[in-house]
Amino acid sequence: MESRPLERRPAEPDSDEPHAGRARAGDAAAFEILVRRHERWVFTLVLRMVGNRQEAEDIAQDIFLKAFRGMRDFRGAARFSTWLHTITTNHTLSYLAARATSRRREVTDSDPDLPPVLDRLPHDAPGPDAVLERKDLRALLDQGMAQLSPEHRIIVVLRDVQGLSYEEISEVLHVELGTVRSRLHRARTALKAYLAPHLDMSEA
Amino acid sequence: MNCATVRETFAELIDGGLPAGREAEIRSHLDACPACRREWREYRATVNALQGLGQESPSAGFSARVRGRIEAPPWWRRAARWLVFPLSVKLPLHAAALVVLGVAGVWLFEQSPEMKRSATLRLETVAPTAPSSAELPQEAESKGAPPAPTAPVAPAMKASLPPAPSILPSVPSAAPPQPVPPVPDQQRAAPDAAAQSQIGADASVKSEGAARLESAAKEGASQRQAGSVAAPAPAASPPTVAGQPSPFGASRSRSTLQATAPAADAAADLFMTGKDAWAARDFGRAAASLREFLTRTPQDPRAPEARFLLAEAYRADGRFADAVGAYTEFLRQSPNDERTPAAMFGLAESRVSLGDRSGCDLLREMLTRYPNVPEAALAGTFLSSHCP
Repeated sequence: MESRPLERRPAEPDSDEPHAGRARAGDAAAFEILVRRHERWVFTLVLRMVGNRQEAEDIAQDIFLKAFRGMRDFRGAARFSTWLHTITTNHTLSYLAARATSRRREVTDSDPDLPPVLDRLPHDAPGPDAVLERKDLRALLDQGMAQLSPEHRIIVVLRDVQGLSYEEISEVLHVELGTVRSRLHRARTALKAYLAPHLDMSEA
Repeated sequence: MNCATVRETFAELIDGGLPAGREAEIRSHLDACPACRREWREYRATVNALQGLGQESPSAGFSARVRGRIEAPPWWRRAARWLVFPLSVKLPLHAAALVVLGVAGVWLFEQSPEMKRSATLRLETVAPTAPSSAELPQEAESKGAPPAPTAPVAPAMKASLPPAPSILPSVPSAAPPQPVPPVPDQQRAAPDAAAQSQIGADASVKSEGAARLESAAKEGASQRQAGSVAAPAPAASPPTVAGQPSPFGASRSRSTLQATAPAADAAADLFMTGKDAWAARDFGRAAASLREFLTRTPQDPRAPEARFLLAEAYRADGRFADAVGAYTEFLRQSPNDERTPAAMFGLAESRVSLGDRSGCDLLREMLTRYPNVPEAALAGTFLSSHCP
């Protein structure tokens, strides 16, 4: 089974190779070219995961820094974008796990009766009232994404926002293709349940 | 094909990857089932909304900031640079810090007895000398003296102390002994005799070297009897070329700068051994250790305490002649010590025990000068019973 790739793809693979080779030798200028080529999708992926621009920008910087320091480990067996996707998803998921732990501790310290779902909300995710008032689809999506677990959120972002194929997602997340398919389906279904009341479902 | 099965294929239906025949079956079911069709529309709208989110851009200069972080020097280099630059500010600060460190070092040296003792030992090692007779305790042999009737006097004295007792007016004031070049025995005999005549109590004064050898031999014998292995007596050391026992023993005379710290440790061990033995009422071992300690490190800050305890050990052991010499040495070196009244009492009692009635005068002098010290009551009792 091969999923149709979406149009929004990370940077073309072939054009990364010469810059990656120089960056592997410690060339910061070459690595800066790679940053410019990939900064948008890295930033977008992180932003969709954490929901806060400033936070996302800081994390994206950390990701590129980690990538530069790990360039010696990049042997060119995979595409640079796939390798960078792996670093980006791992770093972002680790960040979210640490943040959830921190917030859970804060919530526990302040009010142990608060529902645990709150610790999954991004910092600046709009409240339900604001969402319903504005009917802003983007804000609604942010709110709905925040309801998903990080594992489901990342697979939706990788597929529907980043446009990776199932195979690429399997490689990036180190999970089986069947797992990718079933996890993606559950994530979309959960998001659909959240969005459905606000979507125009009239027969096209 | 039921609805649940159809809905499970939505992901593949929208992403592609279903076999053509399978996809036709699904679409046929959707055409016939309004519920599944609605589910499919909602599913597709959700995915379309997600895919319509588009890409976001970080703020301008993002890549340059990343490169700046890549090329930033490591923290330790930044810290080193912060410590050094700007020179116009940091150099005066460093100079001031050095001055403060130097002053602190001198202050610590002044406050630390161990460091002072180490420095003294180092000086002595560079220019080893035999101590002059004035540095050595005056010891004399006594035979057939009666045993001590009383327990040693407690050394701690809280009373404020007046100047040195006039009973020792002619004793040279306690000039701290300094390392001096070796002098011939003949030159040292005169000051020794003068000092002894000024104290004027012991008739059987021997030459100091001989007295030390004999006394040390006795202590060594008592040590061997007690099975002690600590603090070998000076007599065990081979004599030097000049015929005097080496104050530090043969190994000490060959000591180098590197041996300074172990030598200080050995001296400290001797002192502690002496104190422990004194507390355990093993006066023979206490006297041997304390005398060796004083011989090795006569300028140690603990030397006054060692001299006093040595005298007390002699007296408690019934060795009154040795006690007289040790008390006299203590009073000569520490005329204004808090233990001075106790030492006067011990000296007086030792003299009286040797049949020397000058001890009674010394006790009266002590009572006059120190009427409120704990030893005053003892002195009064002793005077009434021994000095009619």
